[in-house]
Amino acid sequence: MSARGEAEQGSETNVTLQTSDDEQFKVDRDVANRSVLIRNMLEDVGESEQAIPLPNVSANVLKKVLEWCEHHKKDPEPLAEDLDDNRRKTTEISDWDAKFIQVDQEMLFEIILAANYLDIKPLLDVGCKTVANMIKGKQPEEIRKLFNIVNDFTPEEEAQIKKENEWAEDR
Amino acid sequence: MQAAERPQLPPELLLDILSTSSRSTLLASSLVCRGWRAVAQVLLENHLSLPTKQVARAYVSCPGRRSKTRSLTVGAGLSIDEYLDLFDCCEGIEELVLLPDRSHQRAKFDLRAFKTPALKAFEDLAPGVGWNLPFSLNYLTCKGTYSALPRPILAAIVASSRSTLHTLDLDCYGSHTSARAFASCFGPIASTLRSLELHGSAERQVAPFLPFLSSCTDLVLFTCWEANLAVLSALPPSVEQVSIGKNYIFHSDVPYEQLLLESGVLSTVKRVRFTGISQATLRAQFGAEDLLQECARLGVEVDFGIWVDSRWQYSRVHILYRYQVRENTTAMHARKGYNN
Repeated sequence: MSARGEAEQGSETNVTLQTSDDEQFKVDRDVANRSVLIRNMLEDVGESEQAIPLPNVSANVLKKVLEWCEHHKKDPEPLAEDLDDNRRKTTEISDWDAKFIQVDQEMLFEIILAANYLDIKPLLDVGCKTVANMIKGKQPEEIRKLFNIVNDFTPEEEAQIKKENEWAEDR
Repeated sequence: MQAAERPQLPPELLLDILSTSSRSTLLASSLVCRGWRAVAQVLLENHLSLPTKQVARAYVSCPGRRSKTRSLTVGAGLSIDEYLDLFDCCEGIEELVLLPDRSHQRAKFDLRAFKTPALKAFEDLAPGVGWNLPFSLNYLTCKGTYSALPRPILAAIVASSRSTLHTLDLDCYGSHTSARAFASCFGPIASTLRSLELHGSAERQVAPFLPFLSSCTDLVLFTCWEANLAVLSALPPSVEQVSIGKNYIFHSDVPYEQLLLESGVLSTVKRVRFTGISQATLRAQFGAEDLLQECARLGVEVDFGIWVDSRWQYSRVHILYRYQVRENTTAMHARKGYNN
């Protein structure tokens, strides 16, 4: 077990997070609060020195997630209506986020899963929009190749789906 | 199926990812694998747009099709049986937009379609009452579908949505021979309607809708792209907000001041919205200052809307009330020569 992160003076502003592979990260509370899951846990336990266990996130992924949280720690909280509606309407990503999310595909998926688990919706959006941009305009075979997906349709099933969705083709 | 060594995205996240995708990307996604197909198909059919007869027929032709469709846009020109088949496929529609069939310049309902067994049996009933459609709408738009949409279908749609249909968007441009019957289809929801858009460019076009408009006793929001005196005078007193769009053709004929003061609308509404009309445009019109002063005196809010990011954004104008504008409308209009 090793302690990482910037150890700050004054434990009331710091939070310790423990990953699935037993690494600990000491981070500023403002940073940790970007995660709704962690914020709720902190509210539940009150003032405590105990590490917050995050059994679904490994150290290398949490390090990356915390990098995003650190950069966005002063962002205003998204409005409820934005969470449900507006955030999905565009595929635009800020320059910093676009650079941040330039990772290998496995890490991209891990970040998405971690953002979902930790309930960090703006980060989840960045990840989902990145994947959406990757598949934009691609053919089925290209998408399979991109994400290493096995085609589990029979030729008959594939023909049937094409027929069922004929109505949606440009004409 | 996805390769085991890669982390897998659960369906709810794939749904999030694909929710911004275009129809062509969704089509491709539906052919990737079974997991992707399930998600892509839901999104493809959630907002279903079948703008031409050909597309609608292609959609319905798939045997056993059942979709969870929240909003459906469909062109006019299908037969009664085809509409019924389509509605049977799309359970749970909340929003329905009926458009002219884009595959023809002039969409006319083919009278031969009325000679179907369904209509024969239906002729003995009041229009639309006998059919149970598998949805109850909360929003219905009918654009240019006067003569291209079978009235029994429209009546059936209204009958099946009586308890939930609170927002209606109608236009009454074009042919008027069947306008009164078309308008009468909406009678069953008149007393529960909360929001109505009624667009027509002349009084003769909207005249058949006026009895319906007056009977909308719970109407709160009213919008007309091209306001005229007949429409504004027929508004029920329940209306709290009137939105008037820019009248490209006739706006110079009847000033907004005359429309709003003569119709008596200002004495009942809380807010007037000018949509696509700038404050400068309004103020350049004859009597506009008097109109704004009267709004201020009566405490009526005045908004101006501009088109930004694919929607109307309104800003409120704070008018300083300076003087008593109106002893009474008739006297003022007599002075200005309106009544000549």
